[in-house]
Amino acid sequence: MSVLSRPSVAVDPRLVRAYRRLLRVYPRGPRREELLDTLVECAAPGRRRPAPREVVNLICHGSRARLGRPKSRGIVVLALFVALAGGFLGAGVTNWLGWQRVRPLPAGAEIRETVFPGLTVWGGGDAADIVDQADGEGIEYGYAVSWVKHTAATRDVAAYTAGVRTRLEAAGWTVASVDPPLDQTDVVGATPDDRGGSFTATRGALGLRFSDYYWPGRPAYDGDGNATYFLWQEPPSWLEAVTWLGFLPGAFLAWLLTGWASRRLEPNPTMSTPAATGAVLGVLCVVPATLLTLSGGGPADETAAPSWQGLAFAETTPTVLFGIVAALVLLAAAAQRPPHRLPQWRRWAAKPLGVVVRRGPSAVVALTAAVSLLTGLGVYRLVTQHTLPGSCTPSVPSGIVDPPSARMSHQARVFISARATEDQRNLAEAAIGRGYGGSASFTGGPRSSGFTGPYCSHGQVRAEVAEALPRFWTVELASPGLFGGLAAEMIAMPAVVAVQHV
Amino acid sequence: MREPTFWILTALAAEPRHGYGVIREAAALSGGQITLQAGTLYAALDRLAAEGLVEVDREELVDGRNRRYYRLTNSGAAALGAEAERLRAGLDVATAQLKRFGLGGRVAW
Repeated sequence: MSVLSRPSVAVDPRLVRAYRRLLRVYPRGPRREELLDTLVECAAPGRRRPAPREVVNLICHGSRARLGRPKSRGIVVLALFVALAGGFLGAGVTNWLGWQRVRPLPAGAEIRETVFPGLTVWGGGDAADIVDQADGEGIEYGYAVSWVKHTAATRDVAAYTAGVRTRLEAAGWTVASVDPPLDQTDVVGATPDDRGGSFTATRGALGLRFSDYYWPGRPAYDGDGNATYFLWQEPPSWLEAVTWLGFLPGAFLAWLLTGWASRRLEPNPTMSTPAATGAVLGVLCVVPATLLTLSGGGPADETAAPSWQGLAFAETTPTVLFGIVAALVLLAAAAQRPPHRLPQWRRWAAKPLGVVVRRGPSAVVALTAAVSLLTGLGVYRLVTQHTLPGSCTPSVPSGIVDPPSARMSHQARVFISARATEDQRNLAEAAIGRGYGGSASFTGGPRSSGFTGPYCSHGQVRAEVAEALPRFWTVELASPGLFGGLAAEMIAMPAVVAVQHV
Repeated sequence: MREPTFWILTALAAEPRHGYGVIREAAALSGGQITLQAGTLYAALDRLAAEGLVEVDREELVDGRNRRYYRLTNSGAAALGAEAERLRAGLDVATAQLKRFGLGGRVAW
């Protein structure tokens, strides 16, 4: 039996090297040498490499030893959860890197001319790869919407939809699914003449969903429907593998950091409790959010919520919280045993403080006075700029405002004169719907919350000035390119003074 | 108390030993039943040291490597005694039950 054999006189140096490499699993310290001594003594003569059982045993116990606190089982459970969170974050990072390789949506006229030849098409443009839609659908693949107002041809829904299908198939598209006929059962205001047709098609990495709806019974101000197509980029097949590639390094780093913090805080139980609470909170930020993301998904269409493919985007908010909590825990750990010799930059930073302390009370008084003065001035500026009426002169937009910075924005505002009649307001609101404006919320006067937001970045507007400011709708666009069509529809409406892409 | 812990404490009862010494002694005392892995041994020693059941006895420099010897503390001896008592009680009960089964006197141990 090997464990009973006498220590071998000449141990193979390759075995010693292999053990040394393996023992790096253990934290730095005398334990590595102690273990090496024991392992070498236990080794059977002639052995060149560690036995698989030894390797597994050392990796397991070495990883555990990294966490310190040999009596605690809780630290193992906590480290496992932190590693899980770290793994998810690592996967999120590689997911984001993977998405950087996805090409933007095609900007040319080829698809537009295939679907709607000879018609004035609104919308189009590009979209972010993944978007967080404000319409309650949450995180989705980014898509661009293109649409046309009805013509005699598009009102013949069945024939036009069939025509689009034929043209797309001739252009290399494959129809993936055709929707069942329009079911208007229990739909309020539906008429027997209502028509609808839609299908989904793919070409390479592109997905397209066409739909044509005709509502002849609707009042003129609501429009009689339209024909649209959604265009999106299907996530590449390698994205899933790439995403999970980041899991292991993320989990590994999280385990190491937990161990480091745990060992540093081990002598100080008072700090250990808040640090552990922080770590639990950090885990709660990331793990549930990720699991919810993973449970979503399904076949991609324009309303599909991506699962692991959208990991990086789904984790944006929890990641920030996790980052803050992790930073606090690590700071607390780092503060436990300050290094004997401060790094160069910290010595420089500490120098002025040393001068002040040496100069005595007068320097301390002068410094306190200067800090108080600066703080006072800052507070005064803050109060006068933000709370005093008249501290803001509102800037009112006019006409169509579409700055380059708003190219990928899903939000628009429609401004209507404060003197607009109720009819004008109702007609304008109907026009937002006609112009593919999606959900619109109206901010009706100075007493509404956020009324001065579009006019002032900070400060207060005088009451009589605010009373005369235009009222506005905040419109969520289904895709950034829809702004053009909305603006064209709205600016022609009476009393509408501006349409702004923000 | 788990089996490796029991045998580590038992191996240290007679005299302080270093890692390999504990592994060898545990194997010998258990009649080859226990083969402690080095990783398992040191994880147990760390835990037992944190619980105050064992402590470092001395360090020696052998072949350029630091060899650390461990010894049983009084608490360790008490814990081992309590465990031995528990095992003996269990053994007595099992033997008595087996006698009722008709195997009394023929039990191998």
